[in-house]
Parts: sequence; structure tokens; C-alpha cells
Amino acid sequence: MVKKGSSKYDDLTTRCPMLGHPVPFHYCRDSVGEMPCRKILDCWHERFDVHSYMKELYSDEEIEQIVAPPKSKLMQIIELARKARETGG
Amino acid sequence: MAVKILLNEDEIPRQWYNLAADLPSPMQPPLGPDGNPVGPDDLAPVFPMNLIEQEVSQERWIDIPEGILEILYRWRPSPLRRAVFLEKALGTPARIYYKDEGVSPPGSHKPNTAVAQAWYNKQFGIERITTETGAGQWGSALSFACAILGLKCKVYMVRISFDQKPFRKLMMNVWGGECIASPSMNTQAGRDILAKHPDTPGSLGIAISEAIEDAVTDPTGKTRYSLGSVLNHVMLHQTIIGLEAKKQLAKVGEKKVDVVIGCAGGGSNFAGLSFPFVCDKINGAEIEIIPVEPTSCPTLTRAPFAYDHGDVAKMTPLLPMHTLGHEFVSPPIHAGGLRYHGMAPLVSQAVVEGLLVPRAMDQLHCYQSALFWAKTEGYIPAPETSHAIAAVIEEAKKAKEEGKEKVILFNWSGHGLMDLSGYESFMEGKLVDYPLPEEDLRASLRSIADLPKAPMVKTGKW
Repeated sequence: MVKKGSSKYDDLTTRCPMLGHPVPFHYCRDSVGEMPCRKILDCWHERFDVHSYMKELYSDEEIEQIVAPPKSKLMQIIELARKARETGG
Repeated sequence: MAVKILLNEDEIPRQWYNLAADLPSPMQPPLGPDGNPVGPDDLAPVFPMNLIEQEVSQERWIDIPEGILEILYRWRPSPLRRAVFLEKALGTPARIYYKDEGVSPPGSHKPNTAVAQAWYNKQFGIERITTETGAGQWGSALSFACAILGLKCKVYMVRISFDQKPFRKLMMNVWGGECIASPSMNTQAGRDILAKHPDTPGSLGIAISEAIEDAVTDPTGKTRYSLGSVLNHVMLHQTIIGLEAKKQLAKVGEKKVDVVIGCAGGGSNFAGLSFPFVCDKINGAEIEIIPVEPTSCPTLTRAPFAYDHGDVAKMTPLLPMHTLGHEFVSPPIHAGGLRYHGMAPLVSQAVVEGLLVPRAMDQLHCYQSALFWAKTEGYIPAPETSHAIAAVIEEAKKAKEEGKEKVILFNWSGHGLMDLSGYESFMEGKLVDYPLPEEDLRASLRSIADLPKAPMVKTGKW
């Protein structure tokens, strides 16, 4: 799903609410390696038209997948443990 | 007039309080994709069984082992402070108290559970604990705890944070914690990411994957993973905050608390202070207990109680919680710790029962309140803490209007000296408020219209 490519917004910075310190836009755009951060619309819509930016790169379905809220922590842990044991680390 | 109310070491509470035992309506269990409840065996590779037992325990009181207390004595009992200068500035007849959790060695409430978790891991024969961290607050708390207990601690710190925030990493190193940038070559998850994206700055999701993989694939079986928020046993360990506060209030002659307030994010901060008072309320006390959340993400104040999928693909287990629906997109806000889609199940159930009365605050009001606090009490609060302060000021003004000498208690969850950029944005007029429009809320809720609804089990007493 990664659609890298520089953006004129890449060097803008904002505070990442999850990490607790400033990050540049390009971090939110491609940090995860497979898709943009799920909070990319939350954190940037006051700075520029991030919705239009995203729509140029992703389908509505992809955007919905990107911004989906996180699973519960307990479920994340169980799933990650199962996956790690299956792949054998 | 006492402004610092202290307890001696021999006055520290010797049991944690487990709200699950007293909730008048039972907790709805988390369900797996097959619809069956998730059990202890699902968690056994990740956590030691003694902590899993606490996670599912229905015992009301759980003894705090002496070995844990001996470590906590370094900073506990923490001070209860009275905000007399704020009271005077507001001209309120209310007496405002706050529990200062910033006095621990790492500077937050997180060591309350870090120490307990490390201790139980050691009792179970575990020699090494892994975790993930962003800016490093939890990683430093766990490193501290492991240092005291002689355990190895490995912290996967998101690379961009690792590069930008060297001081928390150094704190971990001082305590002997091994802090490495994530993704790393230490795990398959890290190697896979680095093979595709060698220059990636990492993410919390990758760091969690690495920490859990590190724990569950250790061939010696002597490694486990640790989490600093959300889970039941974490909240249990934090109840020492509220239990101490009750003793301290009694010490200065306060026979009754009228209002208990905390910011509601992952749950442990709010639960730690409030759950012992929820117990009193269940047993007949008249207390208003207020979890405070942002208006932009009104999980408790406007959303229904329903089983909600964690993802749009609907493949993840269902968990009963207050929810805005899986299509909900939270607007931006600076109080990062409060941005959660769903609330902890224990808190949700207490809301359903009417034991908690949640309130939403907009961020401009919170920053205004934080500045007022800083100019009266002196301390600069974290953005999350400012939500509680805004509600405290509202309640103090209400007491003034009513002419009532109310006792108000809240949890000081930390200072804001690492969050001054948020204050800068506020003072420069760069922040705006993001109340969730009704139409957006309705659209979001349509996404969960067809999901099975959690039964609204409640006694109707509150």
C-alpha cells in the first residue's frame, strides 16, 4: 500500500500525540512501512488539506483502512504473540 | 493550614482494591473472533501467570507483597496537596486536594505498576522483561523497576524517538535498561521491516511487535512482556493512589469527599485515584466521580455501549466498550494520552451503572485552566492533567455559586515541562477546538448499527 514520494508538506512538523514529541509530515506519511499513520488526518487537517492529499494517493477504501482505530491492547498482544510464535521469530 | 498531607511508611495501604469484585453488574468478557471468551491460556506466553491471575481476578482485596512495598517506600506514600492558592484565587468555599504522583524516581505514576509487574515476574522465575516505548516514559519506569529488582530490561524505542529524545534513553541506560532503536535486527518483525524499508523511522506498532516477539520466542522461557496501561492488573496496582488519598484526607479531618476527578485516557491514572471511591459509592456514599475526556473524542460522554470491532475489516475480537464506531476518526488534540477509540472495560461498565459521570472539556478551556493553575499553584501541568484541572475549576466555581464547602479531589498525573510546545501553540493562538459535530457522530455510529449489542446490564441504582 505504500505510495511514497516526496510532498511539499514533508518538512512541516507537528507534535505526535502517540510518541510525545514533534515529527515531520513525512514521518506520518510513510513511517509504518506499509501505510501512513492512522492519525494522519487527525493531526494534519488544520495545517493543510490533508484529505485531498490522501485522496490523490489512496482510494476511499484504503483511507478507511488507514484511519481505522486501533484494536484493543489485549487483542493486539494476543494476536502479535500468536503471529510471533507461528513465524518462530 | 496544611498544604502537604503526608503519611509515614507504616501507614501505607497493604492491599490493592479490585473494582471487578464489586461492580453490581458483571463485566462482559472480551470475545475472540470465534465468539468465545478469551482465556488465561491466550495470555500465558506473554505475561507470568501470577499477573494473569490478577488480570482475571474477582477478589476484592489483593495483598501487596512486602517486597513491593519495600521498593515503593522510596517515594510512597506520595504527598496529598491542598490547592489553597487556587482556592483563594477562585474565592471558592471548596477545599481542593490533589495527589502528587510526580515524586517517583522516573517522575510519574507509572512506577506503581512497573515495580509490581517486575516483582511478580521475578517471583515467577522470569529473568528478563521486554517492552516498547515512544518518548520513553514507560520505558524509563520499567528500567527503574528492573534495576531495583535485578532483572534485565529491554526496551524497544521507536527509532525517531530514539534519535530525537536521547535523555529518556539515557535514563534507561543509567538504570541498566537496554534501549535499542526499533525496528532492529533483533527480531523477525524488525528484520522484515528493515529489509523493505531500511531507512524507516519506526512506529509504536513495530516496537510492540518486536517486544512481544522477543518475549515469546525466547527459548529459555525466562522472558516476558510488560505493558504500562489499559489492562486490569495495571489499574489494580494504581489503586494505591486512591487508597492513600483516603487515609490522608482522614488525617486532616475530611470525613467526606464530594467530587473525585481524573483525566480518562488509558485508564490507569483515573482508575488509580477513583476506584477506591467508587467502592464507597457502591456502598452508599454520595460522591460525584468524573472522568474527563476531550470534547473532540467523546468516548464516554456521547457514545453508546456496544460490542465494537477494533478494525474496519472486522476480523479482530469483539470487546464490550464505549465506542464511537470503528470508522471514527478523532480530530487533533494535544492531550495525546486521551486519544483512544474505546475506554477500558472496567470504566465503561462503571459508566453504564451510573457510578461515573463523564464530562468532556475542550482543549482551549483546558489550556486556559492550566495557565490559571500555573499562575496560582505554580506547577505547569501536562496537557492530560489540564483536563482534570479544568473540571476542578468548574466544580470549585459551582461550589461558590451554591455556597457549599465541597471537598474536591483529583489526580496530578504529571508536569508539562516536556510539553511546552503545546503551551506555545496555545499562547500564540494556533490552537482551535474540535467538538465532534452531531452529523459526524451519527455517521460514525451507523458503522456499528448491525453489530451485536452488548447487553446493558445494570442495576439501575445509580
